[in-house]
Amino acid sequence: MNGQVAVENLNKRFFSDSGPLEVLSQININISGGEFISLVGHSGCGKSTLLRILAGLETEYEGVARLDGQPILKPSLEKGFVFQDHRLFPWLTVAENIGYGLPKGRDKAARVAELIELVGLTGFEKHRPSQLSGGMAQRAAIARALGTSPKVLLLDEPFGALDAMTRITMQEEILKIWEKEKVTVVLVTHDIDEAVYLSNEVLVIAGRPGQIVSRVEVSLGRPRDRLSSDFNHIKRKIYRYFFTEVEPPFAFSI
Amino acid sequence: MSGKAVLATLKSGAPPAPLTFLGGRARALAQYLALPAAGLAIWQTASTLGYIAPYALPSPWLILRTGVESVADFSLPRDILVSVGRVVGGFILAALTALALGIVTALSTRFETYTRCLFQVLKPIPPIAWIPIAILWLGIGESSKLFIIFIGAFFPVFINTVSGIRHIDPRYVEVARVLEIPYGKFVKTVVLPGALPVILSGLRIGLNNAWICVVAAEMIAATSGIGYLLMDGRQLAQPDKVILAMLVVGVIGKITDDLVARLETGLVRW
Ligand SMILES: Nc1ncnc2c1ncn2[C@@H]1O[C@H](COP(=O)(O)OP(=O)(O)O)[C@@H](O)[C@H]1O
Ligand SMILES: [Mg+2]
Repeated sequence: MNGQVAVENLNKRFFSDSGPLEVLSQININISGGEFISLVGHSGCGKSTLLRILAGLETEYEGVARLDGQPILKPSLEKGFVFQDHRLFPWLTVAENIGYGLPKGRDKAARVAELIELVGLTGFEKHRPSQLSGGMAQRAAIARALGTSPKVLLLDEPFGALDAMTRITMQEEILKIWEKEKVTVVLVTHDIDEAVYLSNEVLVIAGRPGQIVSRVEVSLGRPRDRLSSDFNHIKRKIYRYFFTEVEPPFAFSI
Repeated sequence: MSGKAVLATLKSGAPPAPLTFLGGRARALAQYLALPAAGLAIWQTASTLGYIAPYALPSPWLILRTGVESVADFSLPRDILVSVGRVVGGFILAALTALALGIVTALSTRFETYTRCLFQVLKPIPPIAWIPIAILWLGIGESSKLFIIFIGAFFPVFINTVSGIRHIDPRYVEVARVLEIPYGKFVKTVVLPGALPVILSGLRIGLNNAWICVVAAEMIAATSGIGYLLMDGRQLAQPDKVILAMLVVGVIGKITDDLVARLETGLVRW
């Protein structure tokens, strides 16, 4: 078994003082092991909630979520999670943070060094999170999640707070890691360009409660050209679910 | 940049002009000492000119002479040593107990449920109010002083330990869950470091209280220590001794507080 993720007939609601809030409705997902899937949608449509369900952090819902056939009941090392805010421990160094989930042992130091190399943080082992840039902190958080060799890597808008340039660099990094570690990746993002650039399939979530309104397969080769017409054709398909398209006036179209 | 420096920038609208290292330091020190120095000068002048009766308020010069004399005959250093020893003993006892109980209370809901009412009632009783019962139970020996200091230092440390641990960022708890961190390691590496800043400020308040309590306890029942010196000065109608003792209390309190503050910045480096 190799990191296959399945969600069947999932409904999720939160209960608050103002009554129940339907967040997700009739979600069905099937992800083969080793795939790269993105979830895109407006903020508040339930993307984080869905990801937290896959992580086992959220357990009150209708339906089933499975990893390799087994119901997901609680967090475990099989499911790596990278939060939108990096959540590194400020009192630990970069190396200590990255090695935090690793069991004590002779090979721990070697594994940490390997991870630091993998995310390109060599030379920053002894730094504290407050001394890192946003991109570097996010890379450390990714390294920490990868340390225990999860079967599935859950990324909740990991590059959301980064500037456009850093974001593109980080996208390249995450692709490299994905290809090397052969891990299933579920990426939540509100950046359609990012989703199309990275994933095999983009799931579009919309509405309240959130539903999967479209599954867009991205059958482009890699590396992908963000400026190619195929790439933009796919982007446009996804855009349609969020923005009503403005028809160009007849006179200007060829 | 320290919080204070940032605030200063806010107020002036621009970063403070860069000062040369020595010049800046010297100026800061001068500003720091200006007010007490001016006060001393006025006080001394008024005393010399006869505006202040020496039996009400002796001149700084006279107090200084008394100070030098009591240092020369070792009486003042001995009193200081005695008081500081009591504070150190009582404070360490209180801090260790409060830390242990605070950790258990914060981590165990059941323990908290059973003990809450008791602590809620004991907390508002001022340490000084314990002095009569302390004398009744323990006499006027060392143990009654330690007891009062213990009461004074215990609650700030206890309260801050509990609230520091309780208010641990739940986001860090999620990280620990995702990484399947065992409970013991979780407490050691997430809970305690996360609560450390709040615990340290509790220790600081506790030490301050301990120092206040030792003086109070010694004033009522003791034959040595700074508080005793104070009371002794009053009984012998020696106001210079009384004020000398007060100044010593203030200066030593400031020094210990500075030391703990330095420990705080040394330990909390993130
Ligand atoms: N723990 C919670 N309790 C109550 N409501 C919540 C909770 N978490 C999220 N929500 C609500 O659920 C909806 C979806 O949230 P979320 O999954 O974070 O959306 P997204 O990640 O797509 O922006 C939002 O309306 C949010 O306010
Ligand atoms: Mg979210």
